[in-house]
Amino acid sequence: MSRAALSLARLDLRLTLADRSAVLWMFIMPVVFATFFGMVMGGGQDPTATQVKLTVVDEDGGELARMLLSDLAGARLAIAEIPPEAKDSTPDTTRTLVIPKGFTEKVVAGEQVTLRLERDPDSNAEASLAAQARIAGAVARLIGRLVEAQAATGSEGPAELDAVLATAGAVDLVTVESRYAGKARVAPGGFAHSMPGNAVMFVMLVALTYGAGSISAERQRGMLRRIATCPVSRADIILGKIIGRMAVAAVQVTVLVLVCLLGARFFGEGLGGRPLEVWAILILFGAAVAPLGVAVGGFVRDADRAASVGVMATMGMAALGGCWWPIEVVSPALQKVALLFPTGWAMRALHGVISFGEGLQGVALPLAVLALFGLAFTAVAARVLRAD
Amino acid sequence: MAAFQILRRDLLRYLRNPGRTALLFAIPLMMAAIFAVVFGGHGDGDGITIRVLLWDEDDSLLGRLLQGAGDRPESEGRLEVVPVGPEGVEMMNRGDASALVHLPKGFTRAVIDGTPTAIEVVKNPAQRFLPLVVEEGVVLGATVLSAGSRALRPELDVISSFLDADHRPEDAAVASLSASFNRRAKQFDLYLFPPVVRLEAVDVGAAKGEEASAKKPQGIAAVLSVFLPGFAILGVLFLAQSATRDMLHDRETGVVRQLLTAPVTPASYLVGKCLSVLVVSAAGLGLLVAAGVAAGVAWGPPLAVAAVVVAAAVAASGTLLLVMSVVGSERQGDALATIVIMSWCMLGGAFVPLAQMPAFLHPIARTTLVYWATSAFSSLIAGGGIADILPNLAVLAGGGALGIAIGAAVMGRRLARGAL
Amino acid sequence: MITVERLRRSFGDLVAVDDVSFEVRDGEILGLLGPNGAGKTTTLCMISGVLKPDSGRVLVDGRDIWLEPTVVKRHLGVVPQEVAVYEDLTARDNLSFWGSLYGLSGSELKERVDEGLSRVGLADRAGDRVKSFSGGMKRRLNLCMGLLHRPRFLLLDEPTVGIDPQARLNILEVIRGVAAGGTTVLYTTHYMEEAQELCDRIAIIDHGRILTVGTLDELTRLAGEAEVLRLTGGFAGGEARDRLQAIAGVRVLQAGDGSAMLSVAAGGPGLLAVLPAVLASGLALDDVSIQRPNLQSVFISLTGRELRD
Repeated sequence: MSRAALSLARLDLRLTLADRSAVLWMFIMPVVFATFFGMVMGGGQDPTATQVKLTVVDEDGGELARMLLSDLAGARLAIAEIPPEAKDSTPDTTRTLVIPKGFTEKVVAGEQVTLRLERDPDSNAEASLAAQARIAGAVARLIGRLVEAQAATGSEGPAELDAVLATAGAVDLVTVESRYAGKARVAPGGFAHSMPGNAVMFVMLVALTYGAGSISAERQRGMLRRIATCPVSRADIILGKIIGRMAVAAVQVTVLVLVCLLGARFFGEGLGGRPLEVWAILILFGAAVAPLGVAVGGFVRDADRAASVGVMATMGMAALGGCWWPIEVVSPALQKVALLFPTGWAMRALHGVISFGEGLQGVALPLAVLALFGLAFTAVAARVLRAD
Repeated sequence: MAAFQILRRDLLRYLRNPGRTALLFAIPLMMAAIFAVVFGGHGDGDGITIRVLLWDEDDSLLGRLLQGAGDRPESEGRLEVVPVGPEGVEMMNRGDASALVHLPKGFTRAVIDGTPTAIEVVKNPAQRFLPLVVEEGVVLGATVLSAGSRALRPELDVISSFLDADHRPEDAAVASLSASFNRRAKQFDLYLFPPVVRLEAVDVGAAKGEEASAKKPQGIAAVLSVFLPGFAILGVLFLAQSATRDMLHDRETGVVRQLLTAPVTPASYLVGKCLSVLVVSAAGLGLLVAAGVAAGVAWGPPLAVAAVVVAAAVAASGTLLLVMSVVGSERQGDALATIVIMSWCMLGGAFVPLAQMPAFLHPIARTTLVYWATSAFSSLIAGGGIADILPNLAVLAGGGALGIAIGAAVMGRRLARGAL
Repeated sequence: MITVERLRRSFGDLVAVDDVSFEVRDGEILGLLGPNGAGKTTTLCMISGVLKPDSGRVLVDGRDIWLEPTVVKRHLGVVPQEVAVYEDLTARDNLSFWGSLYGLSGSELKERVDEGLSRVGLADRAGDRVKSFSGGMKRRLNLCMGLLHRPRFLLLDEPTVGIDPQARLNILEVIRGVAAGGTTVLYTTHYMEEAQELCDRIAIIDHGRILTVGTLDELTRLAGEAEVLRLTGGFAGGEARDRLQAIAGVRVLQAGDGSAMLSVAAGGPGLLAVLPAVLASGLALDDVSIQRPNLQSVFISLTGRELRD
């Protein structure tokens, strides 16, 4: 690589870092977005410990209602009990379980009782499903206890309430051993889900908006033409521009990974305990999309328009590549569509490392695909970048 | 009227430059379109398919039950159970399914004998809730087996002895066991058939009447009903940003100076600019709402929707005028406006419905005009009328008017000092 | 020596440069003079290796710039018409960057930058961001950026457009200094005075074609050392042409309603003989003015038009 290419690259990095709005999008926005969505997704905690919010209105207050509630409390539900009279004045009613009056009495007597789980339709549907499953588990346990207590009496009549309560100490014969797949075997927290997506999106955003915009602006102002009068080959100019954008991405990625490391207390294990691997993947991703920014800048002549095209391309690729939501919530067809974009492969590699505890060799395929994307984009950039 | 001339000039510039104007709308529309395409098939958790790998080393009854669960019509394809062997562990390491359920060899015998045994569940760490749902389901099954194993102990002990014996059981013994099961079935009938406790999940909040939920939109329109209000607000804020930034551009390129040499007072310049920001914002938001209508979003009573559009346009104009009045250059204005718009949209529930945000953010959300605008649209979509959104209208119009007044006053002072 | 051979370049249907040939001799300042849109910038872009010609070639010291671009460009200094500087950087940063593209580095680069800054009178503003510079200062910096590597050939594209007279004087003085040091200069302009004052030889270009090349003396002689008479008055174009053509020793350069121009060739009856004939032609004249032979009159005699913006 020639000295001129390095000069061009260094200049690009300098100009970008001197631009306050670029700094905002490089470092501040990704951290803010990752923090916000990480908090929405449960913060830095282990999601097995994620307390799905459940408001309980116990209109009964009897022993079996309490038994049910203590089972629920053991079932990782963040239970906020409110008195029945306060039900209508409580603002936060994401999910409310109502235990009706006369629950204990009727259940022991064998009369069917209905528990109501009231969901806010805007609430997180997956969390509601989880809460529902946990309540169903507690209900099954309760019925099991009733049957067990009744079995001891040998009669067809109702069980004794005391006998039901006495079953509380029994040990489960069939237990469930649960663990996470992959080598990490620790549950990733909310930030482990929000960090990769936002890092990938903002690295691409900066590459495609500031990368493309700066090239268009340089051409509009005659800089590229002047550079072309210098004893620098066209290959060196293209190389210099691409390396400049790569350097910007590298600085951005490094700062973001450092922020995650330093902020681990707050962010939790957002990097899955593998900061070096995450850094390496993001560096490769940044290097792969840097030439795409140059290509967009070469293709779209007006600087403002180039930046807008960059924003739209980033939004589309980030959404379809799985940066905005976990890819498993979309249809299988769209999961395949994700593999058309570098974002999809970067997310795959990051999930492999952060969630499954893979090393770099474990995600070699997505890394190789990213490298191929980089080469293809470089070829496109070399074709479309012209001085005038 | 110089003010109207300035308004006219600004509107002409938007019309003469359709490419740039279209780009301003493209981003919110594109975001809404992506959401619609991605989630249009189902729209909420009801349509998510949970893929479970089942590794049944024991070829057990529970395993067959689980496998059958995926085929039951009422599961509507929500559960997909894939029988696997030991390779299932490797499949999980590739993130192939939400969870793997592993029933060990000798599992059935252990349940019959009443000896402790364990079901292994391997969850996908890259997914958030689906693996937990599987886990809960398995825990539920384990609970039932544990209780059954205890409640039916005498009968299971008999079966256990049959299995241990090296000859076929006597007919009498089998008959007595069968009679015993029958007795048990009758005995447990009280609690089990039907289950003495039922769980019923209901959606509330659409409390504005059952009839509203009856004509609830489906598919793409349903998704847009949830997300488009937020994106429309994001869009109108960006429009207002571009319109107010124009004032800084006018200043940096000397247009203001030129205008003031004509018989135009600073006040009429400001009034004209504020008017054009307002008109552009309202027209833009109106277009976004119309785009929603075209996609099947039922926004609610037209008059009430129009009131929200105007109030939200006032709020957006006021916010951005205030922002642009305190900055020194176009670039600074862009940076500050971006921060304000993004943080407000995030906190105000334009990106994520308020209910899904951590509780401590809820009071903060109410301090943003974005919250009042999105929630006004949402409650109209949910079937509310203009009476339900009066507080929203008041906050939006009041806050916006205050912003316009202060912003214009600050800019006016700077004009008077010759800084503009 | 820069040799330009039969350069041709078109953009779509528009032929911007058509069969242009000339040479810039070692050590001289050649002016490329022509109105806006004549093809000056396109020609310069082809000479500097930015724009590939459709046909023809450019030799710098016998080397084809399109065959050995980096070798040739090392000796070429180019000052474009647009002020191509990074406004977010300081003057020194800008110069260091451009110097580095020519392979300068370390203390040599620093020396050249300091030397360049004081040469164009920007030494005291070296650390200021270019954004804060006036138009003239930016132009001076623009010029300085093309000189850092001490090029043997300097190509300038209207380097004095839109600046105050003092900055213009400074720039012309710098260029004279550079030429005195042995640098070969190609200077593009549409200001006749600049070309007259600065250039050893002048090439006149119009509509993409070179009309003539020579020293100021040669050019005025070529135009027949003609003096030009400019007539205004209340006459019709056709009538004026008819009557003026009848006068011996006169060539009608242009005749329109209310204005006309004639050249009076040397060696003919002379101005004093022609003037009474013009006055007696019967045209309703308001004013008659006489222009001494200069580039303007050369241009008019070549194109029938005045050289204007």
